[in-house]
Amino acid sequence: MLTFIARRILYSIPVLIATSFLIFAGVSLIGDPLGGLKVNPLASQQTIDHITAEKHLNDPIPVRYGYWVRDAVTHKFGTPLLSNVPIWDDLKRVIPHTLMLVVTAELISLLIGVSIGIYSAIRQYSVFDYAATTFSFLGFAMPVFWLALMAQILFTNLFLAWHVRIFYTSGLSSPDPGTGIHWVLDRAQHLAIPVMVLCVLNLAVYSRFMRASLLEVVNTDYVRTARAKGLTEKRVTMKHAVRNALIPVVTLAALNFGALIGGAIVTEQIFQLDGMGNYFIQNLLNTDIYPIMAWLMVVAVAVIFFNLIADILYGVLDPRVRYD
Amino acid sequence: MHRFGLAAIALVALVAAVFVGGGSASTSASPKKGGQVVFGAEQEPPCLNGFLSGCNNTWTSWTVGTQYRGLYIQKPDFSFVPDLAQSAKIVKAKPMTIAVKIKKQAVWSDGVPVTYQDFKYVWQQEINPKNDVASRSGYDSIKAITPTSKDGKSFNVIFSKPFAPWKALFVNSLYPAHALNGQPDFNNVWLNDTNNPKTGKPISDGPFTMTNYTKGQSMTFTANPKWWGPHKPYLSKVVFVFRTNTDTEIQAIRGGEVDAIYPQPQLQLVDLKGQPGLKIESNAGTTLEHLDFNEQLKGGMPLLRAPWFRQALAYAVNRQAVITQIYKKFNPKQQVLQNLTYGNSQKGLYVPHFQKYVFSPTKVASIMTKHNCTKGSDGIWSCNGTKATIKYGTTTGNKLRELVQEIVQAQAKSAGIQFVTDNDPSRLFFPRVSDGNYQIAMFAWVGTGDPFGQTDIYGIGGGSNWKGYNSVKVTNLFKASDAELNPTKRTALVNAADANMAANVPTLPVVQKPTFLVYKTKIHGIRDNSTVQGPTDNMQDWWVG
Amino acid sequence: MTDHSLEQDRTLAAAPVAGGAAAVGATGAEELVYESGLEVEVRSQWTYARRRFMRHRLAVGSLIILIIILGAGLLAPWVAPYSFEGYDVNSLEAAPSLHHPFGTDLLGRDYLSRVLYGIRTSERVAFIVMVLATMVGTAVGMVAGYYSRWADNLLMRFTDLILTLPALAVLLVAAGLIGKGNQYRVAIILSLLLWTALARIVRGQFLSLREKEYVDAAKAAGAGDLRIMFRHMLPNSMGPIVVFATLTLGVAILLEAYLSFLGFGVQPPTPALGKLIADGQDVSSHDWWLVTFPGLTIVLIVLCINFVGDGLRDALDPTQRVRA
Repeated sequence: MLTFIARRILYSIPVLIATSFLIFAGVSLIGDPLGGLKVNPLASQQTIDHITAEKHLNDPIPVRYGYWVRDAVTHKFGTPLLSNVPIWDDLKRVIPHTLMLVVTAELISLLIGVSIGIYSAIRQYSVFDYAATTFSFLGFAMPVFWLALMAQILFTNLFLAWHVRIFYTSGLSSPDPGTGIHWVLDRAQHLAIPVMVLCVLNLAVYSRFMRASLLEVVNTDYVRTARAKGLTEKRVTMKHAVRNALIPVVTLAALNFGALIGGAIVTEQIFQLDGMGNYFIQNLLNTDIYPIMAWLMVVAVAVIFFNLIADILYGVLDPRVRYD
Repeated sequence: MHRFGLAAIALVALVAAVFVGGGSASTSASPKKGGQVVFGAEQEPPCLNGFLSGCNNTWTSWTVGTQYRGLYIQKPDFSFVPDLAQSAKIVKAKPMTIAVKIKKQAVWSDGVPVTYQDFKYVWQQEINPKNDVASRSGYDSIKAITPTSKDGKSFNVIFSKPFAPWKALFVNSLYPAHALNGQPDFNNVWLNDTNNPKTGKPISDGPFTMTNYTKGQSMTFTANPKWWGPHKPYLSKVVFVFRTNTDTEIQAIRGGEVDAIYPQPQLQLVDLKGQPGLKIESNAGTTLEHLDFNEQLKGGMPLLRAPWFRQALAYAVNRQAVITQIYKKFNPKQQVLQNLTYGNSQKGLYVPHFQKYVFSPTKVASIMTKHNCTKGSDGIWSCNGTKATIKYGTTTGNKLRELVQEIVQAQAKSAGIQFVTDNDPSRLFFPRVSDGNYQIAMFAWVGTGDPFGQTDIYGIGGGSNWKGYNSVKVTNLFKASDAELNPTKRTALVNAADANMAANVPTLPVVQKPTFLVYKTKIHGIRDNSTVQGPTDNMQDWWVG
Repeated sequence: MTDHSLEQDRTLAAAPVAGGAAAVGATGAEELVYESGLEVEVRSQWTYARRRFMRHRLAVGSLIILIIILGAGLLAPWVAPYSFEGYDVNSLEAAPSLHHPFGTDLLGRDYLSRVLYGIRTSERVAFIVMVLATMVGTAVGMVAGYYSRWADNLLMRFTDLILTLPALAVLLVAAGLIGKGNQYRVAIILSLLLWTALARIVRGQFLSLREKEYVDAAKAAGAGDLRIMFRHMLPNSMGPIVVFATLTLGVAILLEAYLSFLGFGVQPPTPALGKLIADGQDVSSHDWWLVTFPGLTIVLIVLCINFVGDGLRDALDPTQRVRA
């Protein structure tokens, strides 16, 4: 087991290096490293020369890659094109905001999604099952941004009709969020709608996956054996089947990290949350490739890390898997 | 600093001009003290040192810029009203010398008096080649700043060459020398806060000081107890929250999550009109939208080089329809812009030179026939084997411009001219346009109301004359105006140049873009300032009641 | 993210690994082929599949609706009541009526016509993506699965790398920097990202088919690699490929909508569905139809595609007992 983990970690290193080069080379090749400057037709030649020298733009890509890696490690990913604030300082600020959003959404949708999945599987072809199926198909077909827009308008109109502030439709917190419980409440009122929107999507995924997984397990030999031993149906389902059916779902949840960040891009943009997605779009609009590369790198590291976790979890949870 | 406030294409103009202001005189009741206003800002400053090109955008000057009051403040009527200045006038023409006297009571928020040192500091940073400043124009014409009194409150600014729009150099452009002296690199000054690096405390010579900045979310400005103006600020706080997505911004004011916004014109603003508790103020801004015709061989189209063809285009573009269908929805009084230099609102300066170009397929036909053009089976004109099919580009994502484009295209078709969409997002569009790689481009020059800068746009060899307009007469007229210090004579020169352009149509003016200030009726004293100064120039007068 | 859509791919791709029930393989058909010659039996495999599909009423219904919607889009220049750019000054922002079933927009343009043209644009992009992504995915999967060893390693590591980053982020970067709002560019960028899931599925198929006796027999008989791959192995992998192609159509429509919404997709004057929503949100609190109709159109199209895909999976993959 330990050897497996060690080997798996070792394997991640070349993947990380390859990914970083792919990101750097890819983005540098398709984007204009000076793009953000050229948007302003009056940008002075002095500034352009200065940045060309600073970013070593006259060197070939592999050499620039070297400088970039050095900057990433020793200088907080360097600076964006036009500002002297290190990129990592901004990332450090937005990452926790995004985590707060996606982790909340993930936990809620796992909890509800798994429950729906179990109930659907137990009562296969029941009215509930059909309703859940319909809901998840709708979830798959729904553009998140559309749902978000509708929710935003709905809650604004509710406020105008009732004059009671239930949820905020934009921003991460009020100008004076207070402290302690007040702060938590304020933050919850701001995050509620974006979390709901993200949940709709994840619910569809997890409930269906759980249902499929449970139905699969119920028909396997060891569950039949458990039944044969005379255990009650309920006990069989809860104790043996559900536990085993959860394994792939948990693994999927860990693998899902990249997708979650993707979902955050649109949601944060619409609800103006100061998170990674918003940061990403702002810099893309400014055509500033340096923050974009740093962003992609951070996300790649996270995804690789979660893949690692998924593999290990899978091994720990599923006794049938053997490592050698 | 506000002079540079206009990121993309700031151009400019000032003039001791007359003008019409919007303005709500709402301060009838006596102002209440205390309270706060939450203002939705459409952009977040990338960093806070507005002099640097990387930090500079309109909202940098409308937020942190309010902390640096200068000699003058530009009022909604485009006039320059003394702010820090007790007096300031030209005392000598050659070399142009301005004698300045600063108000005795003017101090920074730490009690240190404002003196010539502060002006000198800014000038030196501006001309230092190591600093990535947004624009040196104007500052590079200054030769020296020398004190003429012991306390440093009086000084002379000596220019190396005449610089007519000098007042604009001294609007909101002041940094506290005593706090910043000794900072090794101006490029690293005030990126994430605007505190005195020596004491760590906020510093400002404006009515408010920035006491809190949560990057990505909000900026809090607290009343400055040392404010030297006629009355202390009424509000205790103004908070700017960033809402960069316009649709979200509008929902936020609808739903009462912010108290005021100052958005770019959006059609949905029309919907806000009926909402109780909100007031919308709209004024003519300093942004002049136009269609640029590229005469250069590279990227251009041969027919565009002929003045008669450009005139035909001017008759084929239905500018009136654009105003009626779009802009009149904001303001029923909106007119077509008929001058390339002054906006409709600049009374006494604005002369409608382009007004003869009223949409007319018959006029187009007569010009075309006169030049041996023929209409093809698809109804599009052809001249000497070249079809009147022209690429028309503008900035993707700017919905108003896209709508204008769609109207113009549909109408021009009936006049036998085909405009083909050739849009790019501004991040790709402007590099392309400034490279001369376009046929027709719709964009805007953001000005200050002063014609300074027209030489650069229309003059031969001008850095922004991307269209390659080639008129010696116009070039000379504009050049003369830049050095003319008498306002009346200057205006005459400028309008002569503009009349000349109306005949040649290097560019077709379309509209003077309106500004919008939306705020809750409970806020008093707030009013729009459609100059580059922005509506936050009088924050000390705001109060909530 | 687009997540949902990609989520599905993820599920498809991850399922075998995660021990789920899903996908992979027309094993039933293989047996037939092995017993009694190729031509006749392959045809009968499809006949069975068609029968099974026709029994799936939801899928058949969806297919009919889909044909109607996509057909109307395809024939937009002929069936649309008005042109997409022609406007009517006398009915600006008109609510839906008999005259204008979807209402009109700010310029008085008939919105039904614009939505129809929008479908046309979106489906054109989606079809290109479907064809390209399926071809690339199949080719890569075949090569990796058949030759295994280094080709396999190389290709699979490469798909791993692509999967390391959130799809939407990579798409946005590519579309933002080189997409230029051109529909063909956007389509190609989408395809280059979407083939990876299929490559994995096809590889899995080929890996298992390679061990089959009839492949050995064909080799012994002197058949070339290409012949074996195309004549013997590919037909037996068609099930998952067809299912993938169908689902990709929906994924592409959704992703294009995301890009358009964020301002990086197909640009005017060509209306695309996502762009229509983005434009409509301007006045969404007032002219509700401008956001509602294109949104519903997307949901309906994708929903139908997913139902059809589901039906196809049931039909082509008899081993999969779990029905949605």
